[in-house]
Amino acid sequence: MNRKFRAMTIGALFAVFALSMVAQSTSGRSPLRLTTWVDMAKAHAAQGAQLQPQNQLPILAGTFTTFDIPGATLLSPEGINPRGDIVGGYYDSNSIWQNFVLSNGTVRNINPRALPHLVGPAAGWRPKTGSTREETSWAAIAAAAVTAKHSVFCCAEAQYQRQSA
Amino acid sequence: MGSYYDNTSNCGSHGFRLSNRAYTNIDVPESLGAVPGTTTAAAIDPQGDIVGNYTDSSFVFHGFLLSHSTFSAIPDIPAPGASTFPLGMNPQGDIVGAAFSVTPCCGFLLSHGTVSIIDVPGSSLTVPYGIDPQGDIVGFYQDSNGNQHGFLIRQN
Repeated sequence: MNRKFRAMTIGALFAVFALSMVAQSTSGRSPLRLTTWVDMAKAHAAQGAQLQPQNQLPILAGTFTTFDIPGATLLSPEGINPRGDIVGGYYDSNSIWQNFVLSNGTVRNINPRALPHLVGPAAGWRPKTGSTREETSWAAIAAAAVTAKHSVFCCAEAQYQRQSA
Repeated sequence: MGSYYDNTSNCGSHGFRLSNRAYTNIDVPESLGAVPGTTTAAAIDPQGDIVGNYTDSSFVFHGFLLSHSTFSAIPDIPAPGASTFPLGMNPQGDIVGAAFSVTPCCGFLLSHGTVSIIDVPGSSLTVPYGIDPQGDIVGFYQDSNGNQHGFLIRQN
């Protein structure tokens, strides 16, 4: 009886310990949704992709993963450091732009308001790369406006920045 | 490093470098075919080399590398009328970016003079933004529904 009770106690303690470890490993982490691991060249071959002329160049060989932050839209990872930490931005479920760092599978938001204010070099100057939101817009505008010639591209972006200032 | 628009009616674009509290303008020279006021600086590496893009008189975007005060053109993605946008660079000088022609094309990696295409299968737009010293590449892509996701590539 004592042996059985002791075994049950140890089992219960182990279960509690295991649960606490799980809780520790997940607390403080934003859930990250990894969707795919693929070899791009093989994936293209499997899809029988119809390559555009410029895609006649070799496809980069490598393994990639796609990822999403639940609730995020326009997810835009934009940098990676030697440790593999990834920074970028996204719109949250309230359509508020968030900047993030993804490190060791953990997503943390960065509050830019905690950073010192950057001052432009002269009146009317404003750093264009200071906000990932602008960069995301830039990429979207560039994709759409390259064919619409430079003047549209230039002024569309400038107008966007004035509106978002 | 960054870019800005000036106050002229042409809303000219220029790059800049901020070093030791001093700003330096970055404008690709006309000798490379650049239209004045069309330079955008996109990335800087630990050595201070900068990549970005500029526009020629045909409204085609090209990439540039600024290294030790010398501008050089980055090879264009070989497609008629394709615009090339370098967006990231690592200390080894590997450059990632995106190319567009009539429709968005794809991302690219330029490494040791060789161009490779980065194109997430099934995506309508792939834009690599950053590359680290190990060659890992991050960026975003849009699926067929226009939703945007992140990706990480570890090269073989």
